[in-house]
Amino acid sequence: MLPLTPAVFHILLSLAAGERHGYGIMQEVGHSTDGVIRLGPGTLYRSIKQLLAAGLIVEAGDRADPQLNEERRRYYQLTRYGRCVAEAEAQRLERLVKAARAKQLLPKTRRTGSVGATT
Amino acid sequence: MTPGREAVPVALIARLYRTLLLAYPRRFRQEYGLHVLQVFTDRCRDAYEQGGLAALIGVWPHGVGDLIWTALAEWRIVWKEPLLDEERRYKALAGRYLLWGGCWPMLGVAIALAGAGQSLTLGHIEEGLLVVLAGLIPLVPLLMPLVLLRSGLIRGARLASLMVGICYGLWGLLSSAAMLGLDGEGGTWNALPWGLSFLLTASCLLRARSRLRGHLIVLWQRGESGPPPLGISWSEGDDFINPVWRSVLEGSRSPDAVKQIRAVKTPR
Repeated sequence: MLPLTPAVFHILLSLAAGERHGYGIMQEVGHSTDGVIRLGPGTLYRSIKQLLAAGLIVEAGDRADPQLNEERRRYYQLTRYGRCVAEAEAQRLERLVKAARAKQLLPKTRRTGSVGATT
Repeated sequence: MTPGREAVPVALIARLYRTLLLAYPRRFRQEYGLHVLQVFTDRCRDAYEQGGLAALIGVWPHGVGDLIWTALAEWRIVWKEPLLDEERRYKALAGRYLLWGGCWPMLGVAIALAGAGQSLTLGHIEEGLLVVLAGLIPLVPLLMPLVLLRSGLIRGARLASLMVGICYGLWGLLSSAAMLGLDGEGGTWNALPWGLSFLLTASCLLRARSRLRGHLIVLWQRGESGPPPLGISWSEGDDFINPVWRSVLEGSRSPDAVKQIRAVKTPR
């Protein structure tokens, strides 16, 4: 299962806060990555298809999104297993970042609560 | 979802994109086509509201590139899937008359290439290149019936096979007439493969017609729930092909076919 592709991981991240429809996922991924990752509609639904098949997400029914229009949209939500996989992937990435920091490939992190100070 | 409620440029682009969804394999299209189109339309609408026409046009390359890339990936999955019995039998049947229809054009192409080589050797470069092009172009439509068949467009595959055969035959007849007018007997040898291709493809089609009808009925019975609604109002499970084109390409939608299917289902 791991490592997840960037698209799949970002979809799981966007669903971590609650259920969303396809366009909501796309918008959330765009916002959370400052537009660096732009999921296309085909990539989005291919990934959703794979996630559904793997049991990482489930469909959460069809309903309209009042913020968009009256069209019915299919919502998706993370399963418990999906959350575990997302957490495992996040931990894997964290370990990678730690390793990169140890080799001074990345600047050291700022300590929480001490603005401006670095460890 | 009704594109008519969108701004005209958004509706136009959405309609064009909807047509491009044909690039996806049928199953993916039926399952996710509506959602893919909906997300693309949402994105176009937002872009148009925020940045006008320029922003809307900017959405297009990314959307189409994404569609092509993901369609190729989905097709790769489809081609790797094991075939069902009916599909395997039908594919073998289609492959048989493609083989018959295809081997003779291949021979024709080989002759054309040989002719081109001769022209090039004699220093007639332009003539040689023309012969090479003329020889290679017909190879392209040979693949078309198989692609259509794999898309589930059964009648489309059959029509394409027939058209390939007819085109080769006509080409053979025309080129033989031209060659005979120009250099006498040489044209007969060039025309022979094309003419044989036409005859063999046509004969295979005639022989296979009754079996094909049986296969069409089996395929129709399996998992078809009736024609999609007409008009531009789409609902879950629609195939996103223009219904008229879909019925033409898929076949088995005529009242006669329905009667046949009912007769098969309820034997007296």
